[in-house]
Amino acid sequence: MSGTLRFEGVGKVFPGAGPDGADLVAADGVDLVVGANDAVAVIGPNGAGKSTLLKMAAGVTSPTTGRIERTGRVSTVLELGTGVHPDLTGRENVDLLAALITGDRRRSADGLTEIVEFAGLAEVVDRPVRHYSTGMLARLAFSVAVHSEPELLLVDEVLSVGDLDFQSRCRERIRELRAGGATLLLVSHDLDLVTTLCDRAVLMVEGRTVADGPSAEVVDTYVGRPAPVRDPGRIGLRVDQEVVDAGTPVVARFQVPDDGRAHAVRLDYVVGAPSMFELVERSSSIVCATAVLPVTSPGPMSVELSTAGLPRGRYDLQATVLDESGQQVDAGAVPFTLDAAQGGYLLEVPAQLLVDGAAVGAP
Amino acid sequence: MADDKVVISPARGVEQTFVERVRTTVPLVRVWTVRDLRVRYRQSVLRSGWSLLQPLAILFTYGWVLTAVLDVRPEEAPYLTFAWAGIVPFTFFAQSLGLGVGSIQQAGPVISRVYLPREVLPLSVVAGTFVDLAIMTGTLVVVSWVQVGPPTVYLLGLVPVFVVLLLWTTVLTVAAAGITVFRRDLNFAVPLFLRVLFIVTPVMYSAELIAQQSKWLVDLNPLAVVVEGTRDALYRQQWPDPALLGAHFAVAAVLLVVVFAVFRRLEPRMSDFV
Repeated sequence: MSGTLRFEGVGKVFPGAGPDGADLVAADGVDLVVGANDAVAVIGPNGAGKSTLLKMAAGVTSPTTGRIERTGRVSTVLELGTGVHPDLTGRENVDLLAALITGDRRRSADGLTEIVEFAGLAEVVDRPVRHYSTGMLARLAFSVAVHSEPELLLVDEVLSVGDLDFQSRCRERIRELRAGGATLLLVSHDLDLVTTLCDRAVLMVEGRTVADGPSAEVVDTYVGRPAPVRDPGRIGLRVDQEVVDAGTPVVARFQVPDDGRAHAVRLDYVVGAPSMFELVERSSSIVCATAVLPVTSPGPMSVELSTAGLPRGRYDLQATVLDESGQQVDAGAVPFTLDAAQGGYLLEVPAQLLVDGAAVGAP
Repeated sequence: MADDKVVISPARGVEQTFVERVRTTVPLVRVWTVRDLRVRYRQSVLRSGWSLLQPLAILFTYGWVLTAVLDVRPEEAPYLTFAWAGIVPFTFFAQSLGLGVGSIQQAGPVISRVYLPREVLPLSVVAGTFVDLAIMTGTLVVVSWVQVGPPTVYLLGLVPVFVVLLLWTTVLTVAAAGITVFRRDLNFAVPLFLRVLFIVTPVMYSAELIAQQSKWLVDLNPLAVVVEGTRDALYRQQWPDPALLGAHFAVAAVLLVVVFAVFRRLEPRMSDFV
């Protein structure tokens, strides 16, 4: 049997969890159908709502609007250490994890042997897991999940913890399960894994699915998003300094059009050129900070963007003016260069937006 | 396959019928209880001896203060049997509520990552302490046998008494655990409540001492009814008061339904708060 999953207009709001006590919208009208034996990846920047989507599929948290239907036995690969008690042995924890992951299905003694062997933990299975390494714990959790005869397997970015050998066995095992009819929903930032394991990918940005199609195409869309236009646009975007010392704020100026509509402005930093970033991330342009600020009146506007924590490199600053419904009214992008390395290789950098010296939002 | 379809909706979370709910809850309570019991005594030298040692310590300190210092002497039975009959059920209640109040909140990392009916956690605490109750009841029967005489048919009266005890304990523990997910106040209020309850319940002193002043205080307090019922069954050679016990059973049963209904409504939002 193969599991299926269907999201119908699913929204999820965490009241007061956003910046400055605003509501945090983790999912906004998501429609997604995962058919029997499909393998679908959800990709997108941090905070896009990918993990929330997976948690709602598992039933861990409920949607605020819409509904979710699923069929088939679900298994979740638990994050590191979840549900594991350090004082209990590997064997005792396997019992517990199996019960947690599968609900009420009992594990047979054979199942236990298989689980332990797959995880490569046969020698330490009767020792308290307190003595296990991080990788051993991850292997245990993964092993339990993939040996519970899942019909719908939910995986949230956990394969990267084990060593190379274990990772390749994980991939192999997932392929086996799929060949046996299982359905897969995977959340990952490992775009290589996404294209090898999944035929289909969904790109999520700010709680919405913005692309859905063959995984290679969607990954390209993600990697290339937003397309660098390097055009100040009608909004006349410009930055005061084209070369900025790390730690010095970038001041951006632009004109909010007066067309009788309410607006919001979205600002993205995009790493636009090879930099020391390249060492850790294959893709060539990555959104590393995003912020949306509501604009109350049309006219000229300036924003001070902190560069603290950003690695040295060439960036595109992109501003998009949106109307009330979220439709793009205008956009512009200008390059600037961050000189004087500050170090760091974070993929997503906290950057604070300031309007007239006051904070207005965070990425 | 339509019959294994699961719907997850805003109002109810994972939609389940009552029977499905029980079918998923019971095995998980069993597994989680075993885990709790293993964890509880794994790293301690005395292992399960601790579940006896704590109430024994209470018995001897209070017993010494009350009998030797304050000269409290119940006429009906030797003090050890008398007080132990109060401490055993009270300890079960206090342990369940005390450990159970934070049970869902403390399991935050688990319930925010994998779905299980949230009531599994407080119910497992109650089940785990129930194992202790069984052991302690054994010691109680032995103590009474030695000091008063062999058990009689009236010992069967313990069954309805413990049913009422179990009901009240379950109701309050599940309710406290659910409330604590949203507001942490009960983490502080429960220990205080238990101390006050220990004092107003005739555990270490005779019920008659309060009953002379205000009988309603004994009749309204489920723990007092249970403690008195335990003494009836154990050595007073009489059946526990059926009217009082029945009334407490009925109230607790109604509360149980209410608490579970409210719990079910709040459950979909719990993982967002832990």
